[in-house]
Amino acid sequence: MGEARARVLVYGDANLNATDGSAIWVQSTVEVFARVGCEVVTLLRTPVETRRHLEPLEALSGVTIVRPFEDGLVAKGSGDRLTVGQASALMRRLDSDARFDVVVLRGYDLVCRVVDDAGFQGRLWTYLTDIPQSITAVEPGRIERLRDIALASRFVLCQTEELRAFLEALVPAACGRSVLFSPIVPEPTFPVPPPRTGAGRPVKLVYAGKFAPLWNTLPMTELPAKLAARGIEAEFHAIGDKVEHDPQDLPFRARMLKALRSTPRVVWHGGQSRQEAMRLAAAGDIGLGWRDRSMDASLELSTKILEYGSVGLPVVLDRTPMHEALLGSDYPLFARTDADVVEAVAYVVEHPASYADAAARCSAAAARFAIGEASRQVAGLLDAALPTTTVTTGRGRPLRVGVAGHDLKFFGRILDHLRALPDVELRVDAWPDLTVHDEAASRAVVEWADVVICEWFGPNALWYSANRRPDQRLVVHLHRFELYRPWPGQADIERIDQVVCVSPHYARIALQRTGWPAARVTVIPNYVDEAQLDRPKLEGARFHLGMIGIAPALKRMDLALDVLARLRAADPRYQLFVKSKLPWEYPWIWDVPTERIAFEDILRRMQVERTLRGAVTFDAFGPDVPAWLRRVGWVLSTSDGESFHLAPADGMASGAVPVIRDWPGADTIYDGRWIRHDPAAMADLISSIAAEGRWAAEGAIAKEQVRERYGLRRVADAWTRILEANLPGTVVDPTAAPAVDAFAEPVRPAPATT
Amino acid sequence: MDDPPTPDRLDPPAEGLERAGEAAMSEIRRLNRRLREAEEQAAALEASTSYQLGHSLVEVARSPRKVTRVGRELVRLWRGRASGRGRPRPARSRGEVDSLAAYYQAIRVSPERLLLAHGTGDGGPRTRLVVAGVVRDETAAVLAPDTWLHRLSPNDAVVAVERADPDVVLIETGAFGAGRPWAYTGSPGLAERDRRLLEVIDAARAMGRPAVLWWTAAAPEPVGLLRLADRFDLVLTARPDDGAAWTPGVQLATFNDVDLDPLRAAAALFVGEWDPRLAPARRDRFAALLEASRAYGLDIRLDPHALGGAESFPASLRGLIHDAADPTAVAGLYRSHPLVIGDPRPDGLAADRVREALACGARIVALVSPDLVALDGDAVRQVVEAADGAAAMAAATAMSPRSATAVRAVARGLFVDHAVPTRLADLASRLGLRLDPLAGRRITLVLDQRDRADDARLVSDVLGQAHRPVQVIVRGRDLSAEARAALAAAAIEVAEPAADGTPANWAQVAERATAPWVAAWSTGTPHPRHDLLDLAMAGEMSRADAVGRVADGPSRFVHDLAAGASLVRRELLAGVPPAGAAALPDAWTRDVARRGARLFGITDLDDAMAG
Repeated sequence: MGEARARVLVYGDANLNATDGSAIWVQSTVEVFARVGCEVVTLLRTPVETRRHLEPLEALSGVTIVRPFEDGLVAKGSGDRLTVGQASALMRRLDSDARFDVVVLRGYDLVCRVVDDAGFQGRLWTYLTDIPQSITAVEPGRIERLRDIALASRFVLCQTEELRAFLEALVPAACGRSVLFSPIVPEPTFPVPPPRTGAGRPVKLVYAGKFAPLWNTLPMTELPAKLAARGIEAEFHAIGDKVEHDPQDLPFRARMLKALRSTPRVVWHGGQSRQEAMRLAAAGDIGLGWRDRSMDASLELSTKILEYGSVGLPVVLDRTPMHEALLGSDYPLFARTDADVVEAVAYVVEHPASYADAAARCSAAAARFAIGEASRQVAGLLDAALPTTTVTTGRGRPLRVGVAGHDLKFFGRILDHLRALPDVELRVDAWPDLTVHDEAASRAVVEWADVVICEWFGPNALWYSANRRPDQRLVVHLHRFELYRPWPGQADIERIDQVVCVSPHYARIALQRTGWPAARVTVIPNYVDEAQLDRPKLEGARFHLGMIGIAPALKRMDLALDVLARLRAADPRYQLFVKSKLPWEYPWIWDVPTERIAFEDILRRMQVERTLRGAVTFDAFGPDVPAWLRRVGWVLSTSDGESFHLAPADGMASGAVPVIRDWPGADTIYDGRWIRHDPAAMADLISSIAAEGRWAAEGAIAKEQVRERYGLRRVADAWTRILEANLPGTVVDPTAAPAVDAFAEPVRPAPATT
Repeated sequence: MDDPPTPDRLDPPAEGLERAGEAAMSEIRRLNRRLREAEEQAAALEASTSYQLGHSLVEVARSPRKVTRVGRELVRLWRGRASGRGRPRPARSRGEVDSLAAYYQAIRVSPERLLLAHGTGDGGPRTRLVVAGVVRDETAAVLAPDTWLHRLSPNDAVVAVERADPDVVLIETGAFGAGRPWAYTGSPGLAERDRRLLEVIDAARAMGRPAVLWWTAAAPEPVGLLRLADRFDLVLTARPDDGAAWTPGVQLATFNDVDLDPLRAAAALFVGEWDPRLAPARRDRFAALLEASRAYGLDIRLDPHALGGAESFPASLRGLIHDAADPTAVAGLYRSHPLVIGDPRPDGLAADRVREALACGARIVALVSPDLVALDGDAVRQVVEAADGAAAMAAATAMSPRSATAVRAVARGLFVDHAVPTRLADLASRLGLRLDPLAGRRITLVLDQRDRADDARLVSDVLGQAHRPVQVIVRGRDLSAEARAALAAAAIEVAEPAADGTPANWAQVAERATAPWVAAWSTGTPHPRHDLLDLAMAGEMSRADAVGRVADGPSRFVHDLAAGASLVRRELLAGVPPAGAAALPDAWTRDVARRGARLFGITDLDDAMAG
């Protein structure tokens, strides 16, 4: 094996002697990291009793299994399993021997302990399974713990989009850190039968797993008799040996065992290895994943139904939004009651085409959870967490980069990126306010850094340009806000290596206003975290317009209402969702009478206009934009003017179609295909795309465009390059008309400090 | 706290040891009672806003980092100060909701709400059920004429509930489908909307008002609400196999045979959507039925709220889609089509759609559904197998349009069992509410001066009514004691005659009538079993101010009632009473019509029950 991609520790707080979800997870996770070229160390929680799950891992290159009980890493008499405290200490010890780049942990209690022990800050990839899944089940103390975990984690791994969204809604700190880590379906080690074209006779219904009331395993044993009454000969094949003891239903265990042992046409195969269970399932016709209704609200996906699909079986399961997203709302084997099961099974048995369709859908769904797909996910996460871009320092030590500014909200992900670069050391000179700083701390940065980046062209840029070392690079990030303030005019441009603007349009305005040499001004656009925003759309999103930020009035929500009213006149399914603080939440806006009038006019229209009544919903401002955008099919930008307007780009990255008014400079940022002059034309654009059934295709184009132009990696690379040398300057066309900025007289004071 | 026992509270020892022992036991019992009371007071104190406020402030003092959380906590306490909001309410078994007790407990701490709730402000008197609802447009259209409906938007739901002070908060899951303002509430993982919904429920709870979760179909299905269901007082469903079934029923003011053209076009009609969630076998049967209907000029009108749209229909049927038809405005279509294909979903709402079409005079061909069994017959043909569709269509179209008599007969059944007030009464009963949504149907029957020999027949006619009056006022001679007793035994109040024996004039009748409607019977003519029911139903259908008989043609709005009014709103009598005539004469109806009153005429029909 060559040089490892990363050194990874995996600990699942699981018993690998057992065949359960957590053991399977550990096995699969180790395998995935090994497949993407990592050196993986996994720590066992218990003494080895069976090597059933270890043997596949031992066969993998670059995998080390630490057996604390056998290797004498725990004192004799310390029980038969590691406590979370022992595990935490042991992992720190392993880390001190050879540092891990990534520490993957599973289990709430374990993660809490590791976070309390302040271990692996920023290197943790935490996978939480036993967290509450309903807002009524969440206690405030638990939220604080989850917040601590999120802040300590580089990534919080979520099994499903639903769990990810829930966590983000519950714990804002999890936004931006929560990533999808889907269940992994193992590859069968035996030949999988060819695609099914119809059910055999007798129809073999298969269930593999534990036997429990909520898993409907008792009613499953009655299905052969019920199908026989329907004229269909059927068998029920049950695989597993774990019969739940349910304190709420004490007779269940006895009844279940009796049913398994003595019901005609029920074949009980007992406990089997995972592969053998899959092999037995492959010999069946239809898998059963039908559960009690109360399980429908689960935020987790059962890997069992995917495993059936991986061997070509169609599955009977409950109709839930998650299952519909997986298999389609018209999937023929959704069932709620046992009568539904009988009817659905009978239907596909009598309609081979429907059976084949169901089998194909399950197979395709399972393929999305194959280990190859999981490897692609993990490789992407490793790229983000451990970028491999190198910086030439020529100094025999990492490049020292100082970042100075009072508000780093537009620079957060770039900071993460720079911090993760292997050849870069980073320090932040955090100014408490636009004009306030600790001069000693700033001087220390001047003394220390090879490169200084000033975020915002404010007093920070003036101070650093005046105090920089001659052998030091100074780069200033200029936003529209400062462009109309005195600071750019007060700076000596000769003492700044390069000024970075967010768009060509504003670069030209900057040159017009300052007379700086064109080579001193370059463009790096704002970034879009495309990996975070790329999430599947919710059903019906194609009827939902979205708007992010409506204050001040120059954002022109009134024009968005015009668009909406036109659409709803023909189709009442259109809705507008607004994610924003409301104007009164910005005192400096609400103090302006015209702002109050403008917003009241909007509210009045929402009340009195028939087409707008009940059509506009305000959603709370917050960092959970990626989850919110799942409901949005069209993202509007109706402003009189913007410097960049990140909202359409965020929406595009989510797969929404942008619909942008032609504010000055919009065409330098966004493709003209999305830009229209007025609300009527904007509504026409939406109607025509919808009428032609092109919404999804246009969304895909938009997503690709934004990834290519403003994707985080691309923008971060530009910031990496500018650390070493100036980027190409702005190209000025002397024949072009002067650039115009609708916000030439800004209404906003300084942005709030962070 | 409790006073300690003192000797002077004990009986003197001189009364004897036995007596002293009894006294001691009595004292122990008294102390036990006081102890329990003290414990309850302590529990109440812990739950009180003041205690929690103090507790929160102490927490801040101990840990200033908690100041933000405590701030939120204080807002929560302020909002929930009227009750122990925030704690999950104990789960109640179905049908045992005691909303009345909860309400009176809530207003104990904010009695001023009583003055507000029963004030004479813009809201008007609470004569109908006050409903604050997260409901679909379709449900709102059904409920609105019979309730004071406050629709809740996600933007203002909590303050709207607090302002409305509703009798019930109704949460319909169908309103959480995509394309609606509450879209995705209850969708797994989307907690923000769930929070808003919980705030609404908590607000209702703080006011002692019950919250009802009503499951209707939504896409995507809000399964997340399964975990919030125990926060509601009552959980209902439109799926008959899914628990306590309920639907709001048929709005007769919208769906009726008023001005029905007996010579309607011959085309078959389907209004709705292609539901991908139908069980595949049922979907196949429905597709076959629509295909079979093609030969009968099938006219498909899309439900404009349905997510699927025209493209979701099988390609072979898309050419039959003519337009969209909002379910809230579909009655006109039903009245113009003699044959309607029923909504294929096997739930209570689909059955109500069938009943709506029936009320409009259409025949129905529908897939078999448990809710339609009672209607099976010439008017409603149910299709069991895909191959049966063509025969059912042929049979239905071979028949002439349903007669006015048959339509009336079905409408009577709807009025009694399936109209909105009936279903609201069912809901109110399940919730233990004091308000009676059927009160608007009550009739005071005015009996004209008559011969005492008629008493027995009159009583028999009154007691034989399918819709009995709640009160009888006799203009002139009093009823016999036997007749009075017979009516009283049937819970019909008999108003005392004037002391001087003079016949009551109409203004006096209006003063003495306790029901919102007044019907006038003259003696000497028999009154068929459905006389008052037909009048009450006509009033509910038309929302007119006076109802009378017209000689022929369909039931319709008129400018005058040539035969006089048979049923009038009590307010109309109080405002412009007719002269002291025996009946409510034609001239008077013309007079009130000129003043803006609406008059409605129904035809007398044979009491045929066939559909």
